[in-house]
Amino acid sequence: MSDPFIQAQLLQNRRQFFGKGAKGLTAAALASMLNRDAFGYEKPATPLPAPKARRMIYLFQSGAPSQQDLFDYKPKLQEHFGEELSKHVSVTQRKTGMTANQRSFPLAGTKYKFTKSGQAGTEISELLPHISGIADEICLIRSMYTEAINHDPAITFFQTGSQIPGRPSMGSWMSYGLGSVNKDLPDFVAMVSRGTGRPNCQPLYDRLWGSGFLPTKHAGTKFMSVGDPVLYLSNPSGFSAKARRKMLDDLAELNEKKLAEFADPEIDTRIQQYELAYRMQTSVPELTDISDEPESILAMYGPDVKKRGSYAYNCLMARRLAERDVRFVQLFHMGWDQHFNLPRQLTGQCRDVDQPSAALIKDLKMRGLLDDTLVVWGGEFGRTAYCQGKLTRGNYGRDHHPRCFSLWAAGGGIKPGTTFGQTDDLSYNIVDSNGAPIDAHPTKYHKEAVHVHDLHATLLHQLGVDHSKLTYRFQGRQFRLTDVHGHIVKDILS
Amino acid sequence: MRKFLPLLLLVSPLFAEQAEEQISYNKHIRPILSENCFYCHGQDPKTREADVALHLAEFAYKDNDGSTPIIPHNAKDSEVILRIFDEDDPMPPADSNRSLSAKEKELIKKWIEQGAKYEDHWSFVPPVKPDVPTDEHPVDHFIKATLSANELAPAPKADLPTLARRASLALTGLQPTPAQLDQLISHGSYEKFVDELLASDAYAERMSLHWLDASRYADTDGYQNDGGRSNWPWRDWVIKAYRENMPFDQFTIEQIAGDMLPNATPLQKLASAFNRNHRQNNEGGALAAEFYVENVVDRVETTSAVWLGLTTGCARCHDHKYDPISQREFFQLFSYFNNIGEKGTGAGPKSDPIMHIGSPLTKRPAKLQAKLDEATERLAKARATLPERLKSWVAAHQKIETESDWYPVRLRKAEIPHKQSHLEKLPDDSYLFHGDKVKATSYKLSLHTGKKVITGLRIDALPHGTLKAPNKLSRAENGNFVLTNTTIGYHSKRGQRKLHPVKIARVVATHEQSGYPASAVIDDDKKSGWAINGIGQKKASLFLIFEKPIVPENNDDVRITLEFGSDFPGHQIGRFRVLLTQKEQPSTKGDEAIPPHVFAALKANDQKVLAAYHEKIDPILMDAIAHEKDVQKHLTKAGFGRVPVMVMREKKGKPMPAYLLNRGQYDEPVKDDPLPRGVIAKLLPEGAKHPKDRLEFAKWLVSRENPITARVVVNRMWQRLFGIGLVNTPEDFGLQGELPSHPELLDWLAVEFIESGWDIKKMYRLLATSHAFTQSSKSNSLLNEKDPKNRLLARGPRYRMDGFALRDMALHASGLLYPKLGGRPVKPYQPKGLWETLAANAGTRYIESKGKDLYRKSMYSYWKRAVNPPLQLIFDAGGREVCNVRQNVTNTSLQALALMNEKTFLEASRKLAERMIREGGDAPLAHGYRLAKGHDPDPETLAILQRNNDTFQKHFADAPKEADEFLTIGESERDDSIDLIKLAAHAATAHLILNLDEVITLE
Repeated sequence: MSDPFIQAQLLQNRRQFFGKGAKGLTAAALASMLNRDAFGYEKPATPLPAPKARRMIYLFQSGAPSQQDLFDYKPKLQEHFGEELSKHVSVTQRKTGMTANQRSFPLAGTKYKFTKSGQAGTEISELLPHISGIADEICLIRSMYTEAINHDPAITFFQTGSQIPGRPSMGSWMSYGLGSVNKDLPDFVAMVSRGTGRPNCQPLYDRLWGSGFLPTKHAGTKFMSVGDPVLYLSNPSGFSAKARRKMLDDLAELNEKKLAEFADPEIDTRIQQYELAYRMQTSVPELTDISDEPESILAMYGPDVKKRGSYAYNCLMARRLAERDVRFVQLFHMGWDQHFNLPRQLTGQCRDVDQPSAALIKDLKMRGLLDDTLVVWGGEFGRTAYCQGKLTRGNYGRDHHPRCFSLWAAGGGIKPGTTFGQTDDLSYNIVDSNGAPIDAHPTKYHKEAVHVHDLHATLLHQLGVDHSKLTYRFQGRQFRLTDVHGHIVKDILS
Repeated sequence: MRKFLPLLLLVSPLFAEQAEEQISYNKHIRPILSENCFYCHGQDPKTREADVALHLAEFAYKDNDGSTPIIPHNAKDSEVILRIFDEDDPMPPADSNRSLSAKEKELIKKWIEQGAKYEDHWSFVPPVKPDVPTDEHPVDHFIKATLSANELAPAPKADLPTLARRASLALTGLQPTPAQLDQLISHGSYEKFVDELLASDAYAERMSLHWLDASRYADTDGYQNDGGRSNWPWRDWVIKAYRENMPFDQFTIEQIAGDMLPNATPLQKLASAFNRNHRQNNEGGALAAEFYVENVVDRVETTSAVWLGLTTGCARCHDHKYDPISQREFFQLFSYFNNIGEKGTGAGPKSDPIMHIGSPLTKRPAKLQAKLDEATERLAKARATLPERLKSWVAAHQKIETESDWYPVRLRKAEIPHKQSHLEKLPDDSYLFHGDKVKATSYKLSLHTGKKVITGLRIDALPHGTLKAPNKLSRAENGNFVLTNTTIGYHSKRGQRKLHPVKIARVVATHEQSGYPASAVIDDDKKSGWAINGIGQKKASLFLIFEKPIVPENNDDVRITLEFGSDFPGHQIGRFRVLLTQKEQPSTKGDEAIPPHVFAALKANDQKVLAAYHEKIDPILMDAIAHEKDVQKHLTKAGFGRVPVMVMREKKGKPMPAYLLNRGQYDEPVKDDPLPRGVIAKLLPEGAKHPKDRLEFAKWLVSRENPITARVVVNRMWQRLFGIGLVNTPEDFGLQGELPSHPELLDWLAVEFIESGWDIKKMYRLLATSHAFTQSSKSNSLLNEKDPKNRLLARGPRYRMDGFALRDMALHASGLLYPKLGGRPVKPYQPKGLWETLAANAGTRYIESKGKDLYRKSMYSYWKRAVNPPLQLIFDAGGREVCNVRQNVTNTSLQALALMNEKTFLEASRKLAERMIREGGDAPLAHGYRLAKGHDPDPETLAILQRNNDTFQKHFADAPKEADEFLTIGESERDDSIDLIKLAAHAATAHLILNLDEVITLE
């Protein structure tokens, strides 16, 4: 056993194992571990100097919340209630198979009141009183647009920059590009909650937080709402932490013996990964144990906060993860697909998310975390100005509309208390500040229209990454989250 | 002590050795130009800058406004050299995110000075078999040459037990059993052992698993609804093909175009399901035209990646930036695959073309087959004799003079609440009840009135072959039913919620059992009802005459509820139909109620209408159909059924036209230029004709003229054994792909493969018996530095097994593995909530399999695209959304957690412990290690295991309750004859063994 490589490895391992305090990895060990993982392959881009945000929390509203009823007030829709869409605008947007054969496309004005909130007087729906209350913290973008018109391609596009599955998700790009800060928790955590407005809705899929062609270690770790928060985290019954430690010690000894004999660096990595697994067995339960939260904080997030798997619980978890410097936390709240019975469903959906979303912003701010935590709230596309199905004053529904929708962001260097972009009187087309329609298309950049690629570019920029330089070579090509597009939306940055 | 360098900084010296001598375009220059220049100066004219192109000599040598990019033998005047060395205005431009190193610039300069000779891309030139000396293993001949060029030498041969395990893991995904190992040691022939492995079913399964990944095979449709499908008979076809060592050319032709072979057999048609394993969109708003294009594109991309090793997908939207594939050629390829008359959207099992077929691996037991034969024959006979019966039926019915007062209606819905059972619609618009010994239930029916005024409603209870004698009107023991209540209501306007109740004036029945009068169906007593015992296999009719007619405003919606609330199980009407009348005083005789149009046809003697109607109501035929269906259902239940499989079926007649799609968009076809079918021109010899259809295309793929397929396929075989391919971009043999580490070896293997008659087993035998594969896999710091990825093979392969194998190996060690071949997918243990939290339907549940099905090989686990089996996801499996031919091996903490705490692994520890104690004699730990690893432990390892076992013996002796808990994981029974503490301690040691790096690693 005179091989210097092996000697170095063993020394390192012994330091870690036999001085097994709560110290975690040394910087040197970490560096060598990361190097070895990358092992002759890709080297991520170097971060830009002095990034504005250190981490991101993405509150994804799956199914597409209706902008006309929540963020983009259109009195003209109410004024011309029931009139044909084609009377008011040239109808060029393709329709989904659900309304393509509809005989009539009557305009559906919202039944909700909007109030001007905050110093900027941002108009927000009465369905979202708490979010209205943080109007001075957020930047509301009303000129988002995307390309896909059905959920699966659209949400895949939003998460990965491509409608076709197989690309890495936003969070795994971040993990790949920025590496981890917390050594005892995953870089990227995804959490899912079911909407009460529409419990039977379009589903989610593992690929939305998957790593695509990036190494699996960059994939989001989904926190479960039943059983172990992280799959296979707990020791089986009858096998105590003491037994586990004993087993891992013997395992390390045998694996080190193997390493000495075979000199395969993978063995060393394996030893480290078992230790990280062991640390996670402590760090995750600590994270999810909310008994240390004062009642005042819990109350802020609303009545569902103690219910595991609820949006409120996930928001609190997001804050706890942010405190622990987990890079990227993404919540998925299901059920925002209001084709029919919009008022009844939307009421439930808004009740689920309004208070907790606002609480998260306030809570982060109180702790001084909002400055370097980027928070984004929004869905995969917008909804139609016209009604799907039968239109009455009290009840209506809206189909998918990719051409414009609203989304808000806060913290992490985003200009607070502002709005950006606008749509025409029907929220059908994006228009510029003079009211002229913008022919929004990724190849025809316009600074007042925000394509999904532009949003991605901007978010990465805030985190200190040049989106055009964060690449990974696969199938003979350098791939990016933003494909060959993406412009930073400078006007929303402070 | 030598300074330890971070491995990342070390560059593999593979291709550096010749740099100082002759510069090769393919080896040295093209990779540089391709990476840095071709994007703007390559073959895509749309992105070409300054009209300068460097990808072909004819462009590069051309004078361009007084400057010439490349002048052979004259570097100093070549524009390229001027620009790449220009510090003020360099190429590539500063903002391009690309740059050349000093060494790269020098190489380009030297290449131009040497004459700037261009070469065709290596993989587009047909492979030539280099000579090899006869006294050397051909693989090792090439490996050794490269090793000595790099001043390295091969490692010594590994010992026989190590080798046996290595070959067994690589070829079968399982460790050898102690019996297999003993046998090997007794005859001593490794070659013989490899032959035995190749002859095993486990080999066929292992190879099929790799193929399933490449074929994006899954048990669900993907996209948002992700409903189930049943393409698994195709999976079994693949197993069968590997088992029989089907030559790869035939394997290819049948999968690409089995449906088009002359007199195609059912199995050849089944093979074509390869190209229907793509996702299928069933989302409500999905547009068929859009997803038809997506499906066909997926076929082109998958076929290209699997056979041609080319990423044609890039050419969907624009000419390929690097490879010679134009957008036009992409859509010419597209046109081989677009002609099956598919719709593009809809649920997979209903998306034509489909075929119904069972597993080609399972032979039906003679008894079941005889039953099916009998049923099929009876059905055929019933059909054959139909015309005779039609004749007598017409003769009898033409005597009827007056039209019936009643006409049968087609229901809009017929449902049973809570889905406890269901109603099947039969061809004659009657409904058959399915449900076993069901107690109280109700039928919810609805129909649209049309504009007709309705005065009464009639329910006919009808006999059926599957109902019980003597009455044959229900599934109860005596075939009797009790209809306890009937309510009728209607919506006067669609969308209105209020239901107007219909009051019944009078109830009459054609037959009443004493104590069960018809009138009981409208009384307030929920238990009393109408029954018909003693009727004797005849129709029973119930007439409900309304107090006031329903006068519809416009196609009103009538809702009928039939309640069966009695205490007798099975007493529901087994088969029924609903009839209406407009007569004020309709007949209540229970006539046959021939529909008006049939009555007219009888009068007019319109044989066509009569035959069509009669076929639907003929009782003999109906019974034969039902009987055949029953037998099929029984077969399905026993695992021998036929299921719908999505296959290819070339449309007859004029082929579907194909157009170039602008930007790849489905709705932007260039209609004025229909494209002829054609393959990538660069892959065809000069002047050769393009394959005319999919069948010719398939044959071309595996023809001697095709330069690329054999290389791509042998490279994947190499990857399977060595963990990494000779070309480490198995999906990309194009210009941006990696160059082969051993080009001559790859070519030799490719030609050998073709010349062997595409003999897959022969190739695996060849690779597995090479020294490269059989040498020791011990590394050292020199090799870790010089060749970290073991591309040069100065040591044997060493890599972690995939998640499928890890689970299988644990089951195998413990004796739990249920080695059944093929069949329906199974659902092993899975943590709660995985499907439930993501599913569209809040009520979705993952229902685990039972008994032995919990322990099938992992390749049979139900593959849901939206939520992959979690173990496989954690251990790097591809998601099966799209084709995957790459083998990723990562090393993460989530993997450690899975091996530590996943139920199957823990249960396997317990069962392995039982085997250790029962079979291991006085060396239970050595036996356990042997079962898990495949050979004996060394003394030092054994000593640590012993110490571990002693510790846990003490640990559990102090905590017997913990021992008991630890031993209750999993569904299998515990061997209670073994002392609890002893078993728990051994289970703990077994658990340790199953986590060892050397146990989860091929070495």
